[in-house]
Amino acid sequence: MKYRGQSTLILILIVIMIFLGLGIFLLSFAGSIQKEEYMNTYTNNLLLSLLRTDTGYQDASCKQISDLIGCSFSNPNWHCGEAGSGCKEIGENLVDHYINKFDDVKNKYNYLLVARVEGRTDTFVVGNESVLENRGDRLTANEVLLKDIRGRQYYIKITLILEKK
Amino acid sequence: MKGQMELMEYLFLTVFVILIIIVLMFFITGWQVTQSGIERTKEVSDEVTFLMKKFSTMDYFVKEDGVFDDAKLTVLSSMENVCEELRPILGSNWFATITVFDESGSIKVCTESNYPDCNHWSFCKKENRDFVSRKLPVNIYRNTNRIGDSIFAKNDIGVLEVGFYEI
Repeated sequence: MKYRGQSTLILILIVIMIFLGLGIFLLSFAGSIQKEEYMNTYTNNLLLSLLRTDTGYQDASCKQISDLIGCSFSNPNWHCGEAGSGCKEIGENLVDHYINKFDDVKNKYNYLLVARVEGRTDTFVVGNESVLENRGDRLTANEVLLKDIRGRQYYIKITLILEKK
Repeated sequence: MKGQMELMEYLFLTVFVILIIIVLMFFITGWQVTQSGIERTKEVSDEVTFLMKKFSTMDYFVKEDGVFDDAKLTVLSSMENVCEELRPILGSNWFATITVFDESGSIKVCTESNYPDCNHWSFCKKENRDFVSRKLPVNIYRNTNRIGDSIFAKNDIGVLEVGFYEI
């Protein structure tokens, strides 16, 4: 009976702390959902825009970034126009070059672009491969390209992963 | 003495309960203010998202979804009162810019006189007011891109920035 007043106070304080904690949790959650929706759209658009970008080469195997990715599976040493290096190397350099033009990505994210053809072991990889090992905040965008490789049509699965630095 | 002690205990308890009620009132008021702030931010954010999607899909500006046509952009951005003209479709209190990431490294605003040797289009001038903006990677279809002496159309990569002013 002697400590009844104090126990009531402590109980009330605990209830208030629970309310405050719940409020802060809900507020932080509401903000992050909106940001995530936007960043998902951003990542998808980044991948799509990248694949559609013209490289400056007029050769059908090298015209767009998506063509270079296709070429790197069908004939990676194919020379685009007067270029000294093969289409795979040109593709890797251009993907890195264009992604780094986006300051938001360059300053805040590590990126990894991976292209694979089902049933084949070779891959087209650009960016920071440690992204696959880490378990940080990440955003992913996927696209599938239908390309003709040595007379057969293949689906090339392309994934872009952005991981917060 | 015991009676006085009990009285004091109840007095303290009453004071604490009143304090707690005041804290709760502050908390609830704060909660309401924050909620209305969140609602407003959400409204502005939704507005920006709407503008971003509308801008990147509107036939006035694009060749196909997400691919802006540089000729359309030049004609529209050179128009006087373009904001007024677009108000029935896009509303007011917004601005948009489209920038091509080319090799020049500097921003050259496109006008009818310098087209196609330019890389930036601006709709409704950015004002010195609080705004929320979003950027989105996009393609820009260059109708008359020069490579040496030849002219080829090509898709360039760039960024769309859309902002909405917080009133």
